[in-house]
Amino acid sequence: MEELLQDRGFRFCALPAVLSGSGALARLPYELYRRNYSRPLFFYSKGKEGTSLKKAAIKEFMRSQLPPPAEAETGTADAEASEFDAIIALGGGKIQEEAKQLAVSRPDCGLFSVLSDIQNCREAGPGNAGRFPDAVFLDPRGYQQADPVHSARSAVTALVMLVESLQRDRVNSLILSHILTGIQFIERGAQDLSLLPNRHAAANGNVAAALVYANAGEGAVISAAELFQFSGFSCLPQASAALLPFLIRQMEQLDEPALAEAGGSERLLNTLNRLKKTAHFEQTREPAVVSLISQLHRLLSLRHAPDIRQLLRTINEEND
Amino acid sequence: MELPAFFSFFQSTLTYAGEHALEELPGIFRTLGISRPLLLSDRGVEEAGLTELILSVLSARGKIVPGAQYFDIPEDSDTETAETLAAIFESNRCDSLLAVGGGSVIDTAKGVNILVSDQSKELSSYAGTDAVKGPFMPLIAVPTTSGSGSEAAPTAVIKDTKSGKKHTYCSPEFIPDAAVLDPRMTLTLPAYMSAASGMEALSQCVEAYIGLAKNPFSDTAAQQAIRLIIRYLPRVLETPYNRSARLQMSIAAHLAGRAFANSMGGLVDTIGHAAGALCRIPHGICRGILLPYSLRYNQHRAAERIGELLLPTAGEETYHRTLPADRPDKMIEQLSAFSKTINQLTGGALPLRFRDILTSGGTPVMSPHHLPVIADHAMEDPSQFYSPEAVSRDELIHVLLAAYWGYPLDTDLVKKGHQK
Repeated sequence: MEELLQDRGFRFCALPAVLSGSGALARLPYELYRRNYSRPLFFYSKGKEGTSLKKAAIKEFMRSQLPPPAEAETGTADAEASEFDAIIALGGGKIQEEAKQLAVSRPDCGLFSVLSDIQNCREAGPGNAGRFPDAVFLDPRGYQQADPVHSARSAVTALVMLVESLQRDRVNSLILSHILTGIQFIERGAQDLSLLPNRHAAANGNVAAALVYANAGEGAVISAAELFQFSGFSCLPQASAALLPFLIRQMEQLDEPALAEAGGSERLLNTLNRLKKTAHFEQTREPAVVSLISQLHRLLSLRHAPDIRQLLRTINEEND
Repeated sequence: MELPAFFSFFQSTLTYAGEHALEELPGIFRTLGISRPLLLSDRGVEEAGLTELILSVLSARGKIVPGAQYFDIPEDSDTETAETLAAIFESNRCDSLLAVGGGSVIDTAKGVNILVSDQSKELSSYAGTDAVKGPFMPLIAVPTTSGSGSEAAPTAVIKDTKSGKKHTYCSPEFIPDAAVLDPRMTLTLPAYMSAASGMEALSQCVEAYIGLAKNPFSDTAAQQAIRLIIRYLPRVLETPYNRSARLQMSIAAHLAGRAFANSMGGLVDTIGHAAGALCRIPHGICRGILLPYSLRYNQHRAAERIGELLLPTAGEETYHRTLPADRPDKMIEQLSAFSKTINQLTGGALPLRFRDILTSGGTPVMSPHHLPVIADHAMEDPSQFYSPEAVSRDELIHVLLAAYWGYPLDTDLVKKGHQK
C-alpha cells in the first residue's frame, strides 16, 4: 500500500454545516426554527442576484408557514437599526463579509450564508471578521446565471488552495478528508462549467477549499499571489494557476504522501488544465500578470514554498 | 463521484488530537466560558486511572473542579441513568458536561444534555429526530475507545429502561462542542476492546459509504478512516503501547464518526442495535460480525460502491489489478480476511460469529431462539431506511442465521437478483 499520511498533534476547528443541493434553500426556515431563532433578518444587496435569491428564500418561508424575515439592504443603516436574532446573508463575498462583521457586533446572533456566484472561496470561512457562519447553503438557484469563465477562475483558486494544503507541515487526516472532497468536486466541475450541475459541484469545491483554508491556513502560492495582486483581482487565479504546476512538481520531489492520496500530480494537473481553458487566461495575459508570475516563479525556485512568505512580504514592502 | 440532489454535512466539533491533547482541556473550558462540568465516566475508565488523569489536568492547568462526578455509567447507556444524572446536574448547579469514556458514556451525556437543556425529567419522549430545540449545554467528549465516533456524532443510542429497546436520539445540536483525542486515553484499552471498537469504526465507514444518505464529504472521511484502520488496528493489537498507532486509530474513529453521523445507518446498525439490546452484546462486536453479511445482502444494489472501497481497503496495486466487475467480491473477501486477522491477533477473543460470544461463565449469550425477536426489534429501527436494499423480517432472520452460525449468506434466500 502507498505511504499514508501520519498525523502529529493538531487542532481542527468547528466548521459550519453545509447544506447543498436543490433542496438547500427549502431547509433554511427549518434550520432557523430548529435552533430557536425567531427574528431572522435577510441581508442582501439590491442587485439581480441578491433580489432573486431573496425571492426564492421568501417563497420557502411561506411554504414552511413561518413568517418571512425582516429585510435589510447592505450599505444602508437598516441592518444596524433592526431587531434580529439571526442574519441570513444572501449573495457573494462582499455581502457575506459584511454580514460577518454585523454578526460579530451582536453576540449570540446566528449567521446563515446563502451563497451566490462564488468569487474567492472565503465565504464559508471566518473571513476578516473571524466569524464562521453557522450554516452554508448551496442551492443551484444561487448561481444559475453564473458565468462559466468566472466559475472556472474561482475553481482554479480553490484548486490551488486545496493542493497547497497537501504539504506535510499543513495537512492532517481531517484536513485531508476535506481536501479530497474539494478536489473531487472541482474535478467534476472542470468537466464542463457551462452545465449547472457542474457549476454546483465547483461551488461545493470552493466551500470545501474554504473549510480547508480555515484549518490549514494560507499557503505560499495564494499568499504570494495575494501580496502581488496590485495589478487587479483577476490576476490571483491566473498567477496561482501558473505557479501550481511548479508547486506540484516540487511536492512530487519532496515525496509528499498526501499528494499520492489526492490522486497524484498528473490528475491534478489535468484538472487545472481543463479549468485554465474555460477561464480564458491566455486572452487576458496582462503584462503585470506575466511580471508577477515570473517573480514568484523565481522566488519559489529559491526556497521551499512555506518559507517564502516572509520573503514575499519584504519584496512587497519594497515595491510599495 | 456521486453528487446527490441534496445533502447536509454537520461538523461543529472542535477537535484536538495529539499526544498531549488533554492539556488543551482547560483552554477549551475557557473558550466555552464554563467552569463547573458534570464529569461522567464508567468504572473501567476510572479503574484504569483515566478520570484521575483528567482531574489532575483540570486542576493543575486550569484550577477547574467538576461540579459533580459520576463514574457508574453502565456498558449500555439507559434512560434511567440519564434521568438520575440530570437531577445530579441540576442539584450541583453544573454548567456543562465532560464525558470521558466510550460511546455509552458520551451518549448518556447527550441524553443528560437533552433533559437539562429542556428542563425535563423523562428522556424517552425525545427519541427520534429533532424532538428538542437548542440551545444546549456545552458538552466536551474525551473518548477512551477508538470506535463509536460518538464524539463527532449528532446521535445518541440509549436503551429505554422500561421496554429494553434501544432508541436513537438525533439532532445536529447533540454534536459535542469539543472532542479531545489523546492516545493516553486508549493506551490501556484491552486488546479485545481495541479490536471491537476498531471494527465498529470500520463498519461505520463501510455503511456510510454504501448507504443511501451518503455524500461526498462523508465519502472521503470514510475512505480516509478505512485506510487508517486497515493500517493501524493490527499495529495497536501487536504493540498496544504504541502511542502513535493509538493516536491514528483515535483519529480514524473520529473520522468514521463524522462520516457515519452524516450518512446515517444501514443494515449493520439496524441489527446491531436490536441484538445488542436483547443479548447485551457490545455494539462494536455486533457490527464486526455483521459487516460481511450486510455487504453480501446489499451487493446487488451497491456493487459499484462496495467495489470502490477496495482501494482504501487493499491499496492501489490490488485495486488496479482487479477487474471492476470483480472488485465487490474482492472487497468482501479482503474485509473477511481482515476480520480473521483481527480475530487471530486477539487470540480468538473477538468473535467472528454470534454463537461464539460467551458470558463470563462460558455460556452463549445468544441462541437461535433470540433471532426472530431480534428481527422484530430491528424492523422498528429507523437505521434500516438507509440500507441500499430494503429489509424484511424474513430476510433479517436469514442474515442473522448466517451470522449466528458463521455460514456464507445464501443469497437465494434473500432479495432476488443477488450476484452469485
